Amino acid sequence: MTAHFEPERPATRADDLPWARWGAPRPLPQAALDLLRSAFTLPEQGAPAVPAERVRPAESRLPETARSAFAAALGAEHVHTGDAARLARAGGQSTPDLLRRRAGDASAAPDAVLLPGDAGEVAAVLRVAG
Amino acid sequence: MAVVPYGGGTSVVGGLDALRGEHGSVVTLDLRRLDRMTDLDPVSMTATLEAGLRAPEAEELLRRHGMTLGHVPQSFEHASIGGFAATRSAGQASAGYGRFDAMVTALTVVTPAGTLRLGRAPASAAGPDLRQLFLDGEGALGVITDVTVRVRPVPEVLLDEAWSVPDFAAGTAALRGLAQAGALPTVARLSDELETAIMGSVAGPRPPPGCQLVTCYEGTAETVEARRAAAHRVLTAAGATPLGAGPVAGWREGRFSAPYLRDTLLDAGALAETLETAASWRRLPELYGAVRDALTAALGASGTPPIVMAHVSHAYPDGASLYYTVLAAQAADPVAQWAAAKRAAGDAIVGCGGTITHHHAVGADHRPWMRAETGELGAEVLRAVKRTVDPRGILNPGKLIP
Ligand SMILES: Cc1cc2nc3c(=O)[nH]c(=O)nc-3n(C[C@H](O)[C@H](O)[C@H](O)COP(=O)(O)OP(=O)(O)OC[C@H]3O[C@@H](n4cnc5c(N)ncnc54)[C@H](O)[C@@H]3O)c2cc1C
Repeated sequence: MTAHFEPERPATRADDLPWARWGAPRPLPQAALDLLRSAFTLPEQGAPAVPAERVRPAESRLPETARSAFAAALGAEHVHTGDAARLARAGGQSTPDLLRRRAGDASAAPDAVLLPGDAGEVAAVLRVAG
Repeated sequence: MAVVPYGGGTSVVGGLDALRGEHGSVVTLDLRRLDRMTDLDPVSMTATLEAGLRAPEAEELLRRHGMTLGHVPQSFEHASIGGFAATRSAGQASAGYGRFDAMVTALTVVTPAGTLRLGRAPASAAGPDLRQLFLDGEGALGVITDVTVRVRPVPEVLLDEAWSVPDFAAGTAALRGLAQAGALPTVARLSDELETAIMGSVAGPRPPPGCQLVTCYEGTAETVEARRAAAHRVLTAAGATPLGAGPVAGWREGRFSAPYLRDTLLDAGALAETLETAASWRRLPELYGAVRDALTAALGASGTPPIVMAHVSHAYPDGASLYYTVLAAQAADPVAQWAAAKRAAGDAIVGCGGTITHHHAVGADHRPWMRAETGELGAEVLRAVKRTVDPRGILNPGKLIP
């Protein structure tokens, strides 16, 4: 016999990762900067990232039939083929991942982003994809 | 079409690149909307959490009921429950709360061939443990949709203490003593000489020469006192000197800012990356030196001599992890620069009998060393599992499976 538990959701949701960073920029402590400059020769102008608004992923290759099948399974509002959603999932947070994105390379972006609402919808996505 | 499961997006091993494999297109399956705690069993002290909950969200839900997971990796702000399970994550308090794979008592895995619900008792002799087979599947063996995990009461007492040891060898001997006496604090983290000096000069106050060991105890007043007394006996016998709580405050404050500062370092034209491994105590000293030397030589050859520092943050009775932080100036092609260094480090790790990863998982980046890890027959076993649950190879192609 199991006592009934009413499912709960969090009151606030964690932020999504921004493009090619962990979060809003934070300055290095002066001591760390001094140490860096004494150990390495760093370019005067730094190595700034290509701004997010200048980066475009390649055209989505998702076939229209697949898009409508996903929309039928998840609701059209949970199937994203726009640039912003695809860029936001273009790889992880290793330094090479960040360096590529900072250089404006969005080749790790998917053709679409799907947001299933439960395990049944996950199974439905795998059926459509397979 | 290929499908890449996506949790918090914090993979550091290329686990999320949308590789198409032999397929025409690739979609990312973001689990963010699987965001419920669907069960809390205060009798068994377990909770069932959906995969898309981020760590802070899961903690918020548990704390409403006076519970905690105690899983605090440095990626805490963004990483998800499903991602922890799919990569065998280890948190900073792993000595006290266990690695994530040790917390999971049951999980649901949706695969192209059907859905598995694994785990029905705290322990079982009903054949090999399939839960452990699907944990660390890294999106290539199925989509984890929920996990049932062991939870603990929110600790009544948090006690911090730093220690100084004369050198890294003395520090690892002290950690080994703690682990083998069953006296590990909830957090035990030993920095090598260089990390101690650099962290000290940045965070201040300047630490004494040698190596710094950060310890934290969490629990009830009684358990903390008992554990602390046991740890003190081992540490004092090992020649460690107590430094009080002060230096730990700096670590607590700074521990979640490192990923922000990495971005700032990249902005400044520096290269900053980390890598990790683990080995038996007997092999650890050789491994420690070999990886540092390999990184130093490879980056030196690129014309960018690095700073390489390390710490031990996960100790076991039979061995420990090593975690390296590498800083250098960026070369003209920093991706190729790091790839050469990473290759040298990976070869050194495998050559010294270490594991290619203690907790970051395999993804695409560690795949070249997987055969060294599992052997050819082991690799074939993994491929057979993959063929059974994912006959068309749609799940996260190019990752994990050698
Ligand atoms: C700054 C920083 C610090 C870190 N510190 C630590 C640390 O202290 N300890 C540690 O262990 N790790 C650490 N990591 C690594 C990383 O956070 C972990 O691997 C984490 O477990 C990944 O969780 P995630 O939700 O972000 O997964 P993601 O990065 O989204 O995915 C990781 C892999 O798992 C797969 N996956 C994700 N969710 C699922 C699912 N529900 N079902 C099946 N497959 C899935 C993905 O396809 C991918 O291959 C750190 C990373 C960063 C960037």
